[in-house]
Amino acid sequence: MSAATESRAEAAKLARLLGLDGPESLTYVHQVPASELRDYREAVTELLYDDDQALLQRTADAARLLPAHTLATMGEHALGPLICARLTGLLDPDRAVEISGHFSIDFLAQLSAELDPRRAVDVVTSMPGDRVLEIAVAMAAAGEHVAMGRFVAHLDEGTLAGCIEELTDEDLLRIAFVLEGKERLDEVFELVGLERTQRILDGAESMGLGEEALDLRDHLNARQRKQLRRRAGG
Amino acid sequence: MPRPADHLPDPPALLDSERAAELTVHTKAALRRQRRELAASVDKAFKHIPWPLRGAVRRALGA
Repeated sequence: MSAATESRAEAAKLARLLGLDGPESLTYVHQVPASELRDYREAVTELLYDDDQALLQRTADAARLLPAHTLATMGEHALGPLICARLTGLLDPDRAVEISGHFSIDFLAQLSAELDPRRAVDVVTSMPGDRVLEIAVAMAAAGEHVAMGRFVAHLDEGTLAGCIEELTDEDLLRIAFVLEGKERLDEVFELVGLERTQRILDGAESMGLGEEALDLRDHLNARQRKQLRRRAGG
Repeated sequence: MPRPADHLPDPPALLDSERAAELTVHTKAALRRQRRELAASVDKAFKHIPWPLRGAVRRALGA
């Protein structure tokens, strides 16, 4: 992967965090090394999560006084996905999962798009697999591939395989490009399978995702690349 | 008194001053948006709390 490509992937993640209209809003940061962009993004994430922490914690604590369905109504119709995402990691995980059962899938998709799963690992890993699938499909439909890339590391193999089956080739390629923890990409594409990986790579140019395809190829392991070459050779 | 979170991170050193300032503006805007949403939403949320519980919730929020 070229340095410019890595920076472009990081720029896309930073643009999403800042709520900008797509990664094109930050083309001027493509010159910045990816590691520096990542450091800046991490610092901004800390800033956003630590801000008003005391009020958010009191809000999460106050949630103990109310039934789950009331909290879900408050969340979806008053607090909104951003504030609910900030609250998720502050709630007892079982309680958070219980509340989430009363949210619509569309709202959960919006909430997940704002969530840093590292701050709510127990909640994410406790979510029922079929619910995660529904959320993944809704997030993909909304174009939230950057956000989806944050969750892959926290999904078990069964749920990941289910998501892979439900998502389109374009979705998988876009998510792979912005995946957090790219050292796992070859494992993910073992689940995708050789045939589909080849199809994704072959179709990338027509989707305008040539750079993404090159990046994916660079992150496959030597065995996978060899197998793809053999398939291409006929 | 400035909040601890008002200490914005320094933009990447490689950016020129104009671009660094632009990135900082975007970061401040994201922070302001979040603060606005939190302030507006907590008040709005009270409408959904059953009357008998509102006092207890207000006390828990320190309001």
